[in-house]
Amino acid sequence: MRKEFPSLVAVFLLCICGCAGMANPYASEEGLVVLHYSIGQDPKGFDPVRASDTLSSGLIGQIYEPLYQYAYLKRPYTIEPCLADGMPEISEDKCLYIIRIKKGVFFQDDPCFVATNGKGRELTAEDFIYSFKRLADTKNDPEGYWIFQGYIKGIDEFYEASQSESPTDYSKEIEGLKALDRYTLRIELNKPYPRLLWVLTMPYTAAVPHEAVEYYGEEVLNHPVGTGPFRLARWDHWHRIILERNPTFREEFYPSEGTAEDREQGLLRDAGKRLPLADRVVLTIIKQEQPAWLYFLSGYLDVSGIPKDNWNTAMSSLTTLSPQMEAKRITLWRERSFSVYYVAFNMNDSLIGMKHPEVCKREIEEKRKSAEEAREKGDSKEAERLDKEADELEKELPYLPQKNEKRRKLRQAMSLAYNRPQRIEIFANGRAEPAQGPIPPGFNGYDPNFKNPYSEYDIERAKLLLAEAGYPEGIGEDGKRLELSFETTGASTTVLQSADFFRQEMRKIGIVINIVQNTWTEFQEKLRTNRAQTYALGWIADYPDPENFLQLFYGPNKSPNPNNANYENPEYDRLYEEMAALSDFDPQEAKRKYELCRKMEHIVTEDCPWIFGLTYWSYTLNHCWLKNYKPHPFAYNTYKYHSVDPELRLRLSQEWNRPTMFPAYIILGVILSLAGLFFYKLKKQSE
Amino acid sequence: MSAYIIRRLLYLVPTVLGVCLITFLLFNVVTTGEAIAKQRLGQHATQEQIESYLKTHGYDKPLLIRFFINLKDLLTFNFGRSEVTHQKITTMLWNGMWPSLSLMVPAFFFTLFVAISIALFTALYRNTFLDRSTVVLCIIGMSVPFLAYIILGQYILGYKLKYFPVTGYEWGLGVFKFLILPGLIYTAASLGSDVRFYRTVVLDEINQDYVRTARAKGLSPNTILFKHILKNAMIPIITRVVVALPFLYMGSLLLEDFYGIPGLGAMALNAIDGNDFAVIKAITFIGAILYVLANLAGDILYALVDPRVEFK
Amino acid sequence: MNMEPGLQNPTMETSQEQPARSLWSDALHRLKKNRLAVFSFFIILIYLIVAVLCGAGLLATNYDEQSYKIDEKGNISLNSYSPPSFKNPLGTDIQGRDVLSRVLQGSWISLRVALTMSAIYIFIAVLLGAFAGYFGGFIDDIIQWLYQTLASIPGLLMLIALTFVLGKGLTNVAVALGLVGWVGLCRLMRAEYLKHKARDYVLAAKAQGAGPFRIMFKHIFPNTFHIVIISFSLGFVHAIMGEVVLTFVGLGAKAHEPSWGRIISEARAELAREPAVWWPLLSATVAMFIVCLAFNILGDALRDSLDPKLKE
Repeated sequence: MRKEFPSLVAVFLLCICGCAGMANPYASEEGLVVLHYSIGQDPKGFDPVRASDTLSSGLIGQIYEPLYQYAYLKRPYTIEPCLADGMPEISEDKCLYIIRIKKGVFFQDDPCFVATNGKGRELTAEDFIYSFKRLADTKNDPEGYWIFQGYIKGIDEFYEASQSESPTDYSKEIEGLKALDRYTLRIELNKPYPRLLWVLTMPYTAAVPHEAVEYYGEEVLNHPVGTGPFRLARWDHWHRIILERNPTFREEFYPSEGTAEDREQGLLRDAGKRLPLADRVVLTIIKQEQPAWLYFLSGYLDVSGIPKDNWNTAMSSLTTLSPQMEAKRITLWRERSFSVYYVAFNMNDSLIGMKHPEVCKREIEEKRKSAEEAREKGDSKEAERLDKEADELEKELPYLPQKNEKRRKLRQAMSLAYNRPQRIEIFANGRAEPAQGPIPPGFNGYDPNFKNPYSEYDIERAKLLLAEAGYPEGIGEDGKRLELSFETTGASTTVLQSADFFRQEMRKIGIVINIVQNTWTEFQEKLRTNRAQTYALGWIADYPDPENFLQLFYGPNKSPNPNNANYENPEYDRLYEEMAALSDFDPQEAKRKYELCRKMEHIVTEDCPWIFGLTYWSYTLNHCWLKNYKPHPFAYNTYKYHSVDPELRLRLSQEWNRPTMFPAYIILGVILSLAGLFFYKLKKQSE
Repeated sequence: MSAYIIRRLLYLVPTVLGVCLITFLLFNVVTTGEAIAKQRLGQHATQEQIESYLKTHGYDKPLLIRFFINLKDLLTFNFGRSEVTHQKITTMLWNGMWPSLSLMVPAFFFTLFVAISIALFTALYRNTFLDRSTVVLCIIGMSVPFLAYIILGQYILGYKLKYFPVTGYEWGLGVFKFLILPGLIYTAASLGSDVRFYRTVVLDEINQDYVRTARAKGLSPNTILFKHILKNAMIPIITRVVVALPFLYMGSLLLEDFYGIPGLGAMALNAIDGNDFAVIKAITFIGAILYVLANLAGDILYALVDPRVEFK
Repeated sequence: MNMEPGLQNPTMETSQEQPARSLWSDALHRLKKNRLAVFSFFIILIYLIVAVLCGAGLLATNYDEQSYKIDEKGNISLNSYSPPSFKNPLGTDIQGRDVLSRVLQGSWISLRVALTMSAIYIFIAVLLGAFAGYFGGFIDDIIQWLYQTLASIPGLLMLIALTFVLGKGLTNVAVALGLVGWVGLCRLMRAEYLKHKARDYVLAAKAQGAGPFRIMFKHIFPNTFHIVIISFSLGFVHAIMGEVVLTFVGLGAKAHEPSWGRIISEARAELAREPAVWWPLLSATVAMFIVCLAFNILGDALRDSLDPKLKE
């Protein structure tokens, strides 16, 4: 034992010294073009009908393909065919779409194609009908059904039928979905749907072969079978996802059109090359921002955002990179992110909410009517209860306008006390602006001249409004201080710090905020059941249409639908309904739409169901070896355009990662001398 | 001997039943099926969906029947699917077990080795300055929060000195480099209490009569230390090791979270974030069963090593 | 032989009180000699005073006040992350609040958690331990089964499951810690009661007609009290450390509560800033470290002086 021990120590020593080259997390990838990206969470799976979050969409979009896609380089955002062969033929009344599908597109090879011994089958129009039916089948827990709800003829009946206990019958036809022949799809709508083309680019609508669903059953979320440029090679949960080139991917080429700027940035160098350009994509799952950021700095990730705590390392001003980044030849992408971050008030709440008299009248009528019905059925108890409720509402009705006015002032006061400039500084490092309304700057339908009078920081005015609302200095008529609860969306440091900051802001005008900590799931449940009083959330645009933001205040969209604030204003709803039917592609309609947006914006900022908080700039950094990278806010299938220079990456990352060895030597020295002492004593004792 | 083992196995029955009962009570009575369903189905759920969820998850049956179904499922290791990821829980546990074990087993035995070495070291130098300072260092080490070890270790050894990757994992032999840093941190954090324990064990043995006899017989101190003392100290050491083993399967919640190791600890943490009751239940149950089995193994080993134990 | 009850009383008293009295005075004597323990005791005293003063709103009252700074151009902005200075000896946090005051307030939170936890687990442990040890038989079996079952469920997961049920927040964390943590002490108490119930003074009291509850809590309990004291002192460390982990996991302190766990959890990202914000992490860690160290040393010393045989 004694003789072996020193050699053990020597081995240990070697190990420690050997760690000089140990920090690189990747196995050897010689001769391959591999993209190194990271994601913050394990994705929910690869089922297009559940692609409701950006993370899953961003992965599903690489494997499954929809009919249309965004042109990668073109701005403003334009749509081009993906699996479709050309743009659709649209009827006069805009309710009939004929879409031709590319011939010769095959699904990737997969054991689920039993009939062809694992060879992929050709894509047909029927595949889309099947996939759209899946989206309307409640048994799949579809998260994207809303995109077709009420629009495609007969789809709602299919949706309702799928709620029965027996397995959903996919042979049941949907009136509005027909395959005219093998390659032609006919979609018939109930009413014009100007956003249909945007929607047909979303991963929800991607083509899923029925063989895969039948073969894998529930496991299809682990075995995606698509037509896309990549296929899933490996998925180690909470660790890593590897996508590899789909060898049977159809012929698609890198775009050759782009602006002069694109040309200058080298984005057109690969024009005309066959896609995908990379052989493999390795996505490492890194939950925390800090390790991901360090991986990026070490050259182990090709792209990164800038975590708020690392702003000073990355940037020397709002638009220029720090010298350290410049030395690494890192490229900065600074773009507007089409998002609004807000604090919502639950409009159903009796302290801060609003009930429009018209809505109240409607409720009374409904109650009376159902009371009548109950009486006819002989349920007098129920009828009595409903009548009583209606009486109460009627009693309340005359006071509603006054109450609404007071509560609106309260909300406006809170909006004025919301310290946007300070938040921009400490939570966003200056890369945000106060949001003026529901539509973010730079977005379709945005009015740069509109200034929301409650988006400033003005404590004095806030206090004044608060007094008018019946809470002078935050104290109500009953002599008690106003207390509101604020629900968090998670327990991450930033979320909690931001919630705590909100508490401080409201404290300045005398309102007490009780922070309630939730996990994301708990929070969603509270939204669903209307139990959240106030909470902070953000909305990121799905497609470049202002409707996507304005629908968040549409009455019939109330919780559990996306109108989580439960705002309902009949005037707004009428304007919305008119706006939603207007298309951006017709100049006349687009003009009217813009006018309607102005009116709606005015109503909603005045009623203040949200504190319109911040709208961010998105900052993305990429290393010099990453080629053809250009951020796109809506496209989910961009990996096929990306490429890297692996030799350059290897050389630079080795150069950047030389460990500092002397502390290791000191520690080793101490350990060795202690071990020496030990053996010395042993030897002395045995002598 | 076999009778003893059978009896010990029979003792397991009430404990295992108890574990089932407690997990059942926690996840079925105190939190109702409806609450779970609502949390699960998210904000777009309708009443029908909730009802069908309750039906498919068996919440519509009476409590007692549910308990027996639950018991059967647990005992046959049929945990169903995760409610967040829709993955099979048995597969999740199986996949998560290896990273946890690959982190914890080497770290644990390395710590054991170092702790016993230091304990012997202090025994050699007992009642000297070195011994006393080791004891003080142990208490100091025990008083630093684990989280501080992790944060500082990752920051200094990973970020600043660049010896080890700050996070990551690899299936296969390449995992070595990812595990050194969390392993060392585990060692650093548990060394304090371990050394203290083994030091008392060794000192206990040194004060025994047989050591004096051996010394009187003129045996060399090294022979006494390694042959006699260590051999006799093996009994408490083995008991401690065996009882600690099931916790290795669980991995370390915080270490795995910080170092991106996709083990059961990280899985538990994700389950907390997603309110994934099914996963938490499964991990709790497996952990408990392993603990019970390890205790059994410990008792049997103890009986084998120590002839003084009677099999009655 | 028949004895007058009146005669027996005084002797009874002495046989019951004398060992206790001498045990305590003896222990105090031994403790006084251990200078480190005395020093630790004073540190704990200071900690208690600080905590109570903070709780009473007499000390560190500005822990929730934002502070501002004015730059050269006269703009007023939050004094966010200002390094230690004369005005803020331990710097400020993200909202410009004084870290020293927050760390001091943290002592009050940790004291609350520890006391709540101790009250619960000591109550359960003593009650169940006494019942099991004193009555034996069926009651003993049930109680043993209960704590064996509980011990086999992984502690952290049990805590997590309990906070799921009880809800989040520090009080519930403390309650959960208490509900989980009684097993160790309960075992010791059971053993003590087993030992004591055969002692003369108990038999005498029984003969005198004292009821079982009177005997358990009036006669035997004072003789086992030192075990509670030791357990309490070491359990304190457990509570403080537990709060940190559970807060990190998102179950403990709320966003606005300046607990040590909260401060350390936030430090993870702050440390990686450029330049590094090390002061909140360091202050909270050092504060925790000092308190835990003092409790560890005192607990050890108490154990050595009150019951040298009691190890681990």
